[in-house]
Amino acid sequence: MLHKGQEIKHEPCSLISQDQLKAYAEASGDPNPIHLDEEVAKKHGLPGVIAHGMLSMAFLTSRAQAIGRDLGAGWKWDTVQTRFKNMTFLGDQISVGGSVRDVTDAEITVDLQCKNQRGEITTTGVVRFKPV
Amino acid sequence: MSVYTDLLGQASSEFKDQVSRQKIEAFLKAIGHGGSNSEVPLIAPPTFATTCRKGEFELFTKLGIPLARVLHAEQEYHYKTEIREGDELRYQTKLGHCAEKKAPSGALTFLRFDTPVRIVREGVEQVAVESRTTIVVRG
Repeated sequence: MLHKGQEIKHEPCSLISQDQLKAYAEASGDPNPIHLDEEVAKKHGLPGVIAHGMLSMAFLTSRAQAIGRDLGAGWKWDTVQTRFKNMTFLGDQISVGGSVRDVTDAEITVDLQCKNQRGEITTTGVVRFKPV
Repeated sequence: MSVYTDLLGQASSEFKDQVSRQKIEAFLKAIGHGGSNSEVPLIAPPTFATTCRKGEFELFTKLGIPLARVLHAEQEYHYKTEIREGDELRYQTKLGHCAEKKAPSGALTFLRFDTPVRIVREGVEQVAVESRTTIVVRG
C-alpha cells in the first residue's frame, strides 16, 4: 500500500525517435505536421519537430498503471489530469517519477512528472484512484 | 472575450470507430509497449481515447485554425469503464471554453474541447471516458 509522501523514483521511457513519432501519429490519428515535418515545424516558429504531448501522457499513465496494479483489485482509475509544460524534442530521453500526494479511504492521489535528460519537467500529471 | 466566444457550444459531427485488436496493438507499440499480448479481450491503454479526436480536428477546420499553430496544453480523462477490443466507439466533440492570454510572443488563445467517449458493447451503450482537451493556438 502507498503512503503519503512516498517517492516514486524516476524511470526512463523510450528515447524519442522519428520512427516512434511516425508510429504514434498513425496509431493515434493525430495529423498535426509539427510532429513529423521539420520544415513545417520551423516555419511555425518551433525549433524543430516536437513530440506529441499525448505520447508523454502515455508514458506517465503507463507508470500510473503499474502503481494501480500494485494497489490491487480494490482500487480503480478515476481521473488523470496532465499539463504539457515544456516541449519534448527528437532525441530526448524522458523519465517518469513523482510522489504520493495523499492516501485516504476514499481516494489515493499521485503526482507524476515527465522529465527530460536536462532535468526539465516537461509534463505534470495528477492521477486519482478510487475504491471499487 | 475571444474571437471564438460566439462559437462556444459548437459541436462536431458524430463519429464511430471500431476498436480492433490490431489498433490497440499498434497503439501499444507506438508508446513503447511492443511485444506479444495474450490478454483476451485486449484492454486499451489509458490514453487510447486520444484516437477520438476527429471531432476536434473537424472543429479546427470549421473555426479556421491551421493545425500547425495548435499545441496541446492540458488533457484530462475521467474514467467510467475501460475500452477494449471489440467495442464500438461513438463520440462527438463540443467547444466548451475559450480564453485569451497575452504572452511575449503575442496573443495566445486557449480552447477546451469536451468529448464524452461512449462505447457500445454487446448492444449496450455507456460512457467509457470523459475527455477534456485544452489546446493553445499560437498567434
